[in-house]
Amino acid sequence: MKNLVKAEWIKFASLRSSWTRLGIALLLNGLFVAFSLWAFDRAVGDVEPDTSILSRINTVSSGVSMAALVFVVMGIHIHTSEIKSRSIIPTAGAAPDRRDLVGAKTILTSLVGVGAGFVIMILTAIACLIVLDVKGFPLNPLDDEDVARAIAGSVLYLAIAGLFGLGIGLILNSPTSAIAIGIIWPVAIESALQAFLPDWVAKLLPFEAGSALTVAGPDHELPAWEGGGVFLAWSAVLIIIGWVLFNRRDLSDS
Amino acid sequence: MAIVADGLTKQYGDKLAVDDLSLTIEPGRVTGFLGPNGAGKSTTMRMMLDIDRATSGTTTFDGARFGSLDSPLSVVGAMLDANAVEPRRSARDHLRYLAASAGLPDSRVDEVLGLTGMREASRRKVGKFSLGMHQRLGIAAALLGDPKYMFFDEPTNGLDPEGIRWVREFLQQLAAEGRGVLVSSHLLSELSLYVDHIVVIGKGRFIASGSVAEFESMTGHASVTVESPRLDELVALIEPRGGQVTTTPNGIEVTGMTASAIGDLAALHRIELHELHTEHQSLEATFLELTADTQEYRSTGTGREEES
Repeated sequence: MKNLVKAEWIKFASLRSSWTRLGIALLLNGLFVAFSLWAFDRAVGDVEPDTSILSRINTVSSGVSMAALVFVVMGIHIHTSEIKSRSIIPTAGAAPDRRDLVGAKTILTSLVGVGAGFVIMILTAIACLIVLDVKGFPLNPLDDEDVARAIAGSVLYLAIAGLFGLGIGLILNSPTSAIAIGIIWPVAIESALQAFLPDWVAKLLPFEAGSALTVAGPDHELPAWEGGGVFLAWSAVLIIIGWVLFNRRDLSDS
Repeated sequence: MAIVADGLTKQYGDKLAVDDLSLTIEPGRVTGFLGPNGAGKSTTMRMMLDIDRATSGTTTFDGARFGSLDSPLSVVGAMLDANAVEPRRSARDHLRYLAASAGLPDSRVDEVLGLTGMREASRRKVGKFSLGMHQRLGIAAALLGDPKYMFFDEPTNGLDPEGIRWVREFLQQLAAEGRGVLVSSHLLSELSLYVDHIVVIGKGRFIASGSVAEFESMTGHASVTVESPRLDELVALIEPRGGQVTTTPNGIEVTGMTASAIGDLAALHRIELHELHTEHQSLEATFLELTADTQEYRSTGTGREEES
């Protein structure tokens, strides 16, 4: 397994597009946080701005839902770029056990998700805390464990989003359709479902549940780790279904 | 010890692409895998390596299933589709990840790049490669694990004469080193120059197997060309003894009798001969005859193709 994970890392790291995607995730995250910072202490009409500690913490993680979309696409590409280029054929010739292959892709996606998510969140948090301090709303991560929890939760949220994308990629086996579904699902489908599903079901939808990881305080329907667990469970189910389908497929037909 | 494919069958919906096909690949020789387009050669090779799932049948490599091999690259290396590479990745990185899968060091990557003459181009993106360079990269990938067996699906497809010669000599060298090589091709005249053994399939079914020499004599259509100033007398002697005579512009062509028998007959009757030699049917002619009923696509003679 160690060899296969190393092989997956070489595949990932040797494509410039992999790094470009992570750069876009950092940029999107930064842009949304910058907008949140700009709006942080501005009144909207008669509504006074919320400058509480919890609001300050949630500003740090305010861009993570956009960055997560890029992580979904990254997870999709970790499988489907091999399908599109048909390089899955020499890959399977070198690693014929498809269970191990999916396992290695899952580990790689998790590691890249956590590593890249950590870098993105730390860079964003440092910049965010400096700006908040300049604005006169200091936030000391050492004083409030919710800050560290929101940052760590956001890192996990990004990593699980990558796994969610990997699962969709394994199931659909095509980058185009997988990216379409992977982006439309959190942006449109889940929002639409939340409008008419009962609350106790709606809060269990993958991205809605996962977002509990990224917010501080009692603002979410689910406790952070339960929400993260639900998101992870959804991703695991998708990967397992994807593995079953991948195991049965003719790779030359992909 | 050998690769043994037993009863391989592949069904796509109603279509039977490969039908109960069995073959053996032995070490130390190049086995040619022949068949017309659509015969099922590529499908068979993919099933043997679990790239495509067989509907039924098994393949073992020295007794073990491919999926259960601890180090598959050291048992069998394959080039099933030279274009099956990520075009945005460099040749070296393509080989590096395959090597890493098998726990092989990067130094082995450099070795196979050198063996295939790819070292100069190794850091170029594969998408900018010519067809010949793709083939060389595919062969380099197949060599990575220094395997006992090697599969090549149409390795000379699209290559120039120099490239074809390089592949031919390379595959012969691999077999001389004791490896078992399975190579499919529809370039029959080319294949006959370097394979030791031939397996012919058509419409997914086994048709025949044997050495090149056995194939040339398989249909028994060897003919003897004879030139003599006393042909009429010679024909009168040959025909009662079972020889079938066809008149040609320069003499006669005889089937059903050997050259030595005709020579003895002429000598016995003091008939001088100016030419006497055996013409073996070419491998290509034998192949076309063997697969005549299994050609999926055949010319109508009007420039159009129709499915039979």
